[in-house]
Order: sequence, then structure tokens, then C-alpha cells
Amino acid sequence: MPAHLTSSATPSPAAVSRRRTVKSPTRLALERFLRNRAAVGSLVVLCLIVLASLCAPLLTHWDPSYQDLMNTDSPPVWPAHPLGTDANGIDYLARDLYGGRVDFLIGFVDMAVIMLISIVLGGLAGFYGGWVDAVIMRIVDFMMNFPFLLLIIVLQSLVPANTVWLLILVIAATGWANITRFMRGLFLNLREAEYVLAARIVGAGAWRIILRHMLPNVLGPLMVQATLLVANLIFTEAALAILGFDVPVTVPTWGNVLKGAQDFFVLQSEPWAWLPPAGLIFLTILCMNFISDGLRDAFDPCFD
Amino acid sequence: MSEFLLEVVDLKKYFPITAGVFRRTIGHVKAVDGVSFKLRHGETLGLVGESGCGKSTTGRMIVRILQPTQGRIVFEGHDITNLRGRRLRDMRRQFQMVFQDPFASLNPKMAVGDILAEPLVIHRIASRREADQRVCELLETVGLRAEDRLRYPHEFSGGQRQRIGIARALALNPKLIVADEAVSALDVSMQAQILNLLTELKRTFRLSYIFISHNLAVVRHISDRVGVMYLGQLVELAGKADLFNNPLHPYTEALLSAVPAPKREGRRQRIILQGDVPSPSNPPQGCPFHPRCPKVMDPCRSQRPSWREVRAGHWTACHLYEQ
Repeated sequence: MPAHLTSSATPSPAAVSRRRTVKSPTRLALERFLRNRAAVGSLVVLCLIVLASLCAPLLTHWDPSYQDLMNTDSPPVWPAHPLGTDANGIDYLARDLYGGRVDFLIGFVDMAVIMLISIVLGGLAGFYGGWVDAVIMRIVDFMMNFPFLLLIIVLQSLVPANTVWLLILVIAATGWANITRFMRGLFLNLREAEYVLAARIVGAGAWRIILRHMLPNVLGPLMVQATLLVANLIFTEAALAILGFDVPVTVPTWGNVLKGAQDFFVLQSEPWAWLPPAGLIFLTILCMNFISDGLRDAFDPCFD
Repeated sequence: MSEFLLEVVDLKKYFPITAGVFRRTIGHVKAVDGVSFKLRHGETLGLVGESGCGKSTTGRMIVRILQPTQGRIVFEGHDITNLRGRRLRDMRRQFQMVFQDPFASLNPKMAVGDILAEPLVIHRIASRREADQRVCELLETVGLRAEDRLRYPHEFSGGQRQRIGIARALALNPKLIVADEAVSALDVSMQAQILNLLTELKRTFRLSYIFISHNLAVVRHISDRVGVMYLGQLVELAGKADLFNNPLHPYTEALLSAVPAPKREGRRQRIILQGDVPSPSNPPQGCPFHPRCPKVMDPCRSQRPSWREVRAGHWTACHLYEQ
């Protein structure tokens, strides 16, 4: 055990006068996280990718929708087109960089919405149990069997303006079932915890218990799920694009760039077209996995 | 004001056993099956019994975190059995609980000060500044230091945590504290300290306790009266001296004979019970103790003995004492 922990257990009068700052369990977990090299390294890489797509205009002067029809299918030319151009003469680097924006927008916004839904529904189901739990879990069962692809196809044909936000909405509306079930399990576990009973006896209401007593104690697994969810969502975006059910091809996303390279000739002779977006997707998902591993180890030090 | 602080009348808790897709109820675990007693102001009532006899369930029903299946709980003349919502929350100020496991009963993510201030905040008793003041007082009352409020539960030992749990129970100035195995998880020297603290607090704040324990020595030390439970029922209830010196019910006799006596000449005849405690989902007909009772008679097998005051202040449920 580190010296600063053992010394705090039995403070001598001298130690009290020059007290160390009190560290909350969450703070300790974050310190453990920061000692995990793979996780911190991944976090840095991830931040760089996010920054690169946010600061895309600083890194390339090309507009990701500008078509230079005089210069299509160009191989990489430094410094004009470092990654070449596609069949419509759009700069690949610009598409890759701007594409990250849409992917991260889908990933983080949907993650936030889905986590919110699952904390509220999972919290209620786990706290109340009984018929509340039964009703919520039946809805979850229904959603888990809901044909998500079908909904997207139908919406794309019904709604004329097929935008990124529509996709975000559809993913959020259909993607919360698994996480809700997971959160419900976590909350259900804590329901009989003595400190939760103690809070009930003191007179705490449902929301106070869910948010102040249960939620902080499931923070670790919750954050693990959230990071994995972002990775999953980015993967989903790419998969939808390749199936042809993503946002319109003109909107740059990593999935759409990959989709544009779905051609035997391009795959064989133009690796600069598909390697960078594939690598970015791969790297992002890999980073997310390392980060979630780090979070799990940090919040649950007993886990081996 | 009524003579009694708490009256428990024929309290029952049956947990359903369900099976199949439609969660059909196929039976009940009769965790508590008809418990009645009265608690005077300022009294400590000990509840003893082996694991699974329903003593904790009884305690949890009294503090209203378990809803009784049947029976009534009357607190200072008010029937609180079916109170809900706001009125229940207001009533909760009067009865609090101390838990068994000091490692599980404090939220590890909350600073001690926040844990102790929470009851005050919920019941809107104090402003933030007053609450902080009160938290310091509470910590000092239970023998901790005011600056401990900034620390987190993981920094304390078991005994210290139990003190924090007691401070939390005291925060609302309750009249009744249900101590559910409050010292069982502590080592012996710590047990003595916590018991002395509880005794002292009782005097200072005019508290009443329901002290639930499987430890006869501890119950004998702290209680004024003692109730013995077996298989969800109270089998005997009497003043401490009366019960320990002059037990009536055969189960109490057997239980007391199992306590190791320090002196050889003080030892009583050890009564060894045959068999195991029957399952509470399928309790025996008649007296719940009859399959193991050394003094079993015919009526024990078919009729449940009535709960009666056999001598002044000495209650028991046993056919031996029925006229």
C-alpha cells in the first residue's frame, strides 16, 4: 500500500496539523487512471484525432465538398493534395479530416443521449423493482428486437432532408436498450446495499438515492460502457455507410470516404484513398478500448 | 401521549416464492409470523435468535423499509403501518437504524460530513452553515473529531465507521433507534466501546433501543427486556434478569445453556437440540419448536400456543404454561 494511504489511517497530532489534502475515491481512481500508460497514451492519441478534425481548416485549405473536375483521381502530390483526390476531384485529406467531425458528433452526442436515457430508465427500474422494472424491461426487450436498419431505410425514404441529426436521432432512439439493461443490473445490485437502505431510512427520495447514492457507485462501469459505446457508434457509422444507409455521400464521414473507395481498382491501386479513413476508425476504436480498460482498472482496483 | 413508545401487533412478513414464466406464487417464506410486543419510553429491548429467525426482518419493518404483510406498527399512538410519502418521511425523524456492517453502511463516495448532513438537508432542518455546525457536534458526540467530516469512509476503521453510522442515526434526534447487529461485525474490545457509547447516548438523548443481536452476552449487557425469536415468532419476552435466570420456554433454556460459562460451578446442564431449524417456507404445524423440543406434548403438534403473559411481565408462547 502506498505510504500516503497507510499514514492517513492513524494520523498523529503532528500529521493532523500539516494535513494532506483529502482525496475522494473518485480522485484516487483518476490518479490510478493517470498512472496507466496505455490508457493515457490512448487518451492523448484520441485527443489528437479529435483536435485534428476540429481544427481541419488549419490543416488543409481544401473544402471537403469542392470538386476539382480537372484533377480527378489524382495520386498524392505534395503539397497540393497530400492524399490525392477522389473520382470527383475532392481532396482526400480534407474529407478525412472533416469526416472525423461527423463521426465524433455521432459518437459523443449519441453516447450522451443514450447514457442519459439508460441512467434514468435503468435507475428507475433498478430502484423500484417490481412492476416499474417489469414495464421498463419489457420496453427494453421490444427495443432490442426492433429492426434498426429497417427504421433507417424507412426514414430515409420518408424524410426528404436526410441529415446527420436525423441519423443521430434514429441511433439514439433505437440504441439505448442494451445499455439500459446493463445499468438496471448495476442499480439493482445496489438496491439492497446498506447505505442505500440507510438513505431510505433517513428519508431520501428516489431521485436523491439514484443520483447521489447509486450513480456515484456505478461510475466506473458506467464510464467503461460509455467509452465502448462511442467506439461502437463510430463503427456503426462506418458500417451504415458501406451498406449505403448513412448520411448522403456528399457529407464527409469516415464511412462515406471508405464507401467511395469500395471499388476493386481503387482498393488495389489507390491505398491513399482508403487506408487513412480505415486507419482513423481503427485507431479511434483501439484508443477507446484502451481507455475503457484503464477506467475499469482505475475504478475497480480489485479486478484482475 | 401513550404509555408506550412503540407497539407492534401481530406483525407478519411473508415473502412470496414465485416460479414459472408468469411468476406465479407457489408458496411463502414466513420470515416473521405474528410478532407482538410493546416498547416503553427509554427502554432497551433486545431481540435474540439464531440466523434466519426473522429478527432483522422485524427491525426493518419497524423502520418502514419493509412493508409488513399483516399486522400493525403503532408509534406513540400513531399507526404508521401504512404511512406513505410525505407523512412517512416526516415520521422517519422519530426512528432511525444502525446497521450491522460498518463497511457497507456508509456510501464510499461521500465525505463523512455529507453523509451526516444529508438527513438535515432532506428534512430541511438546518441551513448549510448550521448543518456543518451540527455535523461537528455529532462527530464529537460519538467520539470522533470535527475535522473528520472532510474525510471519506475508506479512511476509517470498522469501529470508527460504526460511530459514524451511529452519528447518522442521531442526526435527526430520533426517539427510537433500531440497532441491527450493531456490534456483531466488530472485534470484542471495539464491541465494548460501542456498547458503552450506545448506553451513554441513551442516557443523554433519552433514546429507546431495539437491539437485535445473536450474541446473548451483548444483549444481556445492554437490554432492559429481552425477546427470544424462533422461526419468525417471538417465543419468550421478559425482563433481562427474569429471562436469563428463569427461562420458561424450552427453546430459551436450550439457547441459554449454550452460552459458555466462565466458572465451572456456574455451568448449567447443556441442552443439545436435535435436528435443524425447519424451513420458514414450510414451518411445522402447531408450535414451531415442537419437532426439536425436549418437552414436546401432544397439543404442541397440532395447536399453535397462544402468546400470553404467564407471570407479571413475562410473556411466552408455550403449551407447558397454558391452563
